[in-house]
Amino acid sequence: MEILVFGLTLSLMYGLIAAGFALILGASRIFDLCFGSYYLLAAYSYYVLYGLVGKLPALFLSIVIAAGLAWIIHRVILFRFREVPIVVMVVSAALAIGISEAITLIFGSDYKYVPPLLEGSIDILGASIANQRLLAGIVAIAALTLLWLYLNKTKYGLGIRALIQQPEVAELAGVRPRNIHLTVACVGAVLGALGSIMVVPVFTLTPHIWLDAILLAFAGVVVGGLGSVWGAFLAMVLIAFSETLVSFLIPEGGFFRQAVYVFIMVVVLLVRPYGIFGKKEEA
Amino acid sequence: MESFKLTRIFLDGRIQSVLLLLALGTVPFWAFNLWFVRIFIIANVFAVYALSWNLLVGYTGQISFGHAFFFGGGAYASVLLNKYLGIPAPLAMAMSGVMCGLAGVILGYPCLRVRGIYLALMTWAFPLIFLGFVMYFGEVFGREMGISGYQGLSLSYSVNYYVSLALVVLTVLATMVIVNSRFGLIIQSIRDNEVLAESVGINISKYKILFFSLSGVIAGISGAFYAHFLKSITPELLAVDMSILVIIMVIVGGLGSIVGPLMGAYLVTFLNNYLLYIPELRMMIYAIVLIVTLFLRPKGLLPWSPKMGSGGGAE
Repeated sequence: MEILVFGLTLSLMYGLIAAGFALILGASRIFDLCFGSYYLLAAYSYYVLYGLVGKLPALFLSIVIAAGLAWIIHRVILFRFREVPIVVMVVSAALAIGISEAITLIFGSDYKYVPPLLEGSIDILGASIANQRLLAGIVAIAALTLLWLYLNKTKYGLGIRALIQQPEVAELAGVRPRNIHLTVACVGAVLGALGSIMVVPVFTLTPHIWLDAILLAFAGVVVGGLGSVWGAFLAMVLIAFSETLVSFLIPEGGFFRQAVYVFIMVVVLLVRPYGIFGKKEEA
Repeated sequence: MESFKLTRIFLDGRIQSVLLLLALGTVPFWAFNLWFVRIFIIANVFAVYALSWNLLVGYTGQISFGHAFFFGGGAYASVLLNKYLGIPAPLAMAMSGVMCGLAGVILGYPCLRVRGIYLALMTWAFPLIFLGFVMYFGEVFGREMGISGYQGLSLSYSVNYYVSLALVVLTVLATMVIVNSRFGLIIQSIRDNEVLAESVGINISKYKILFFSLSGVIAGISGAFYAHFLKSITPELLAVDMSILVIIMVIVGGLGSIVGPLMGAYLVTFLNNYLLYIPELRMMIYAIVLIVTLFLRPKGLLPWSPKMGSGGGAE
């Protein structure tokens, strides 16, 4: 029962992160490793701000900061290199490591404690679960519902979906790739930041968590299929349940977390290189 | 006429390389102090490492985002052989190179199935898996503290320097021979048009794996030398930073040539050592260097673009 509840909330939290990354990748074909930096920056700005302005304003401010960073990075740097995926990957990886080290310079590399938005825990069907996890689950459901509405019911969403399916035709029909591109980067960063602030109080905050986020995002993209937001989300369900299972079976296996993502990723790449939910295409 | 000849002499690639070799060959004599020699040694190590990445990516077009697997793996293999089995350092280095080559063959197989971004992701995973082992078998690998207390190659900086230089020269020669041979031609034809290459009867898989393994051997030996020179290693050798660093070196210098990665490695290592006081900002500065290079000279630095010096890298 605990496994079920923990796995479910975990998959919702991870789902936010993976969906954000998959959205950026799908709409702009950009493999943005700086996604980890948005995640990291949101967590640290929340850590700094919650004492100053309170928890809820801090949440919103850090989301805005992360989205701002995403906008700047995409506007100034990544948009120019969008034609060459490998260059994008190298540049954004270098930037992401740079940002993580800059944060080490400011805050040090030790573990930071971030208080949860909601304290305490409640019992559900015999499983004791922290309120933060529950809240994270609810927030994730709300955010993903909003994302679905945004993608499927608004004109902007139509443009984004058009760009995902047929970039050239979408451009002919008057969709401005750069606007959409930047919007999507910001939306993706918002999802990542939200995920970060939900996840970080449950785990720990160090300058290295960007790698966790990136690996999750990778796994989501690989398992879910390139650029498929919902595929990525479903992939996270798989990842989260495997992770919960592993952590229940091997109690002191904290550092196995990354290994779990990586293992699932490699296996899926070997068996179905285009993802479990992806369509076969040349990629 | 005379001056014309003089400029020709200086522009001649062979004479340039002789001059460069002379300058590098005498470093221990004109270097200001030992620290300077040390930087040169490290630069040589990274030059070999960069050349190994370049051999794989520049000529075969297979992207590796996890070359730290070979570099760190070579370092760990050599150190463990030396420390626990008492194998002398030079032999241990050679053996770790062979082991990395075998690892390259084994890892090359799954990598055949994927390409492009997926290949990058797949290779990204390898050092992480190795890192998992390092952390799990802590008694052997020393966890975060790493390993020390094994035999170095030599105490003298000059000897170390010449060994490292010899490695660079060997790697350069090997790259030139391989690239200009039938192998090189085949592998470049695979890079440029895989389907066409296959249709003329080239066994793509064989060559791809061969180059994966070759690149692994070179990277492994450079890592092993690095380990024996530093006399202590930490799991940082396997970190993502190591994989990205070599990519930055090669791309800043110029992918698919021989001089490019060399220059990139020297540039980045020297930057590295003058930025010792702000270690946390190093990667940021490399990122900026990388982005500026890509902004200013995007054509010359992108993979196998036609504007690239002497083309495809028969340099």
